[in-house]
Amino acid sequence: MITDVVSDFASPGPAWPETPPPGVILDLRTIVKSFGVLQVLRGVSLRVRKGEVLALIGPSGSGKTTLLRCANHLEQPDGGEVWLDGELVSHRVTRGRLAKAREGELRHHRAEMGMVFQSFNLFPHLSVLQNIIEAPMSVRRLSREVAVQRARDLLQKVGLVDKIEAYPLQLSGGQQQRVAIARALAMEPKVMLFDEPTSALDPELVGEVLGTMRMLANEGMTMLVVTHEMDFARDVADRVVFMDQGLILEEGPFEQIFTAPRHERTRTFLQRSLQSNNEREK
Amino acid sequence: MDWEFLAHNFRILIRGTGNTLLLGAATLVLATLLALPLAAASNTQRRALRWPIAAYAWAARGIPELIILFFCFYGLGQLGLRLEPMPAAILAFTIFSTAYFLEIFRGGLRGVGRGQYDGAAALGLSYPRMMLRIILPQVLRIAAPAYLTMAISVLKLTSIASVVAVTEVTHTANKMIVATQRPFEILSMAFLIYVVMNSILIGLQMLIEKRLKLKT
Repeated sequence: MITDVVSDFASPGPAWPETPPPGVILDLRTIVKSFGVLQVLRGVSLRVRKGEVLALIGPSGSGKTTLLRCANHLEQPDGGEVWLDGELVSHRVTRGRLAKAREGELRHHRAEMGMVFQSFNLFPHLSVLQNIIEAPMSVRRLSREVAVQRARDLLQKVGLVDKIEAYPLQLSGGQQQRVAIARALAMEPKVMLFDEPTSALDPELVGEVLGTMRMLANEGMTMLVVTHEMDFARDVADRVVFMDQGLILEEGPFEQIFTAPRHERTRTFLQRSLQSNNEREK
Repeated sequence: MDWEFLAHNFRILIRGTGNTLLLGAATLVLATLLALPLAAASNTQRRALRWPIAAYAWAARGIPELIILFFCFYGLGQLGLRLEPMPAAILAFTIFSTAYFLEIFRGGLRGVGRGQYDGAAALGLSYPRMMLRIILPQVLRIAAPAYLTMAISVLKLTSIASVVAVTEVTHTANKMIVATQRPFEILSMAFLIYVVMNSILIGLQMLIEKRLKLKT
């Protein structure tokens, strides 16, 4: 039985929203989202502190991906607020009242949140270099020299600098995803959003991407990762958030969720996913 | 082989190619420029945009090109708008070619995955920049083979303009057949001229397809 668990961090709501405490990079407040008659998010609130790595786990359809996409407004939430680094980005203030933010401002803030997709979404007609320098040049207005240097440094970091002139379709899945990570990092985002970054990869290629993500985490990047990789959730994430049917059911360090879950559903989900994890490794 | 005959008449026939190319090029340019924004518009959610465009495409693709040509030349003439043969032909050709290219570009647009829009949006690219740098190049690459095939068809179709007295290759050839009573030689030369013109387009198509293969 699902009981309506409203996260500890939800604000009961004075008329005017309070800014989040300092150090909170991403503050999602009672996000509600429906697709037609299907209510995918039923009031989800989540805070990510600077430098934190959050793993978002849960069964398919629980709303994890939708929550991520609401954070950077690839989907427009039907209700709730999104705060980025202390600034309200989902709404603007007009004539003393709150209204939904306009596309121009949303776009501006989207550029400060890097996103890595399950299907990489690299631009196939552009080279790796062109993929990476496109946004820094056209959005941040960097010069070509600066953008190219930044691209080189990032590719060096993810171990793919020798592929700088290659085209995405010439690379393996793992390589493409690492390029996608470099492309997102080129915008120097405040937070990195990962939507099941390894789900579309062959098992042998998963490791190289997780390794890159681990490196990012160790460098202090704030990360919100939707994943099925329990090893990652256990080893790299500071906190794990379990979602089911549009709500957050559990939140806490992996050990706590794993050994002492509050809900039966959490237990069943963890059992099932660790089972399939073991089957894959055989 | 009466070379003198061939040479003399070839020179006359070749004068028709100017109009063939003019009609073909004008049509391709106009139809492409119109079809691209129409294809983009028919991809939106707004029914007020989609339906008129769909209706136009339906009609233009369902009516024989010759009838559209007759309408532009004779039909409009009766209604008071008398056009010279070439402008009437350009109008008629643009009407149906735009519809054909519209369908081709829509197919290209559909071929670009949703993820491309997501990727561009997540990076903060502006809508114009995204369309120009990310989406459109991919649409054109996907649509290129169908587009060039249609372009070749359009060029060949210019021969129907002969019936409204546009002095292109077919029209000229017909007149010469009447004058010389030697259809075989005249038509053979006409074949040659058309094949050479189309070979340029076919060659272009192969070149483009080769360049696109390099990226995989």
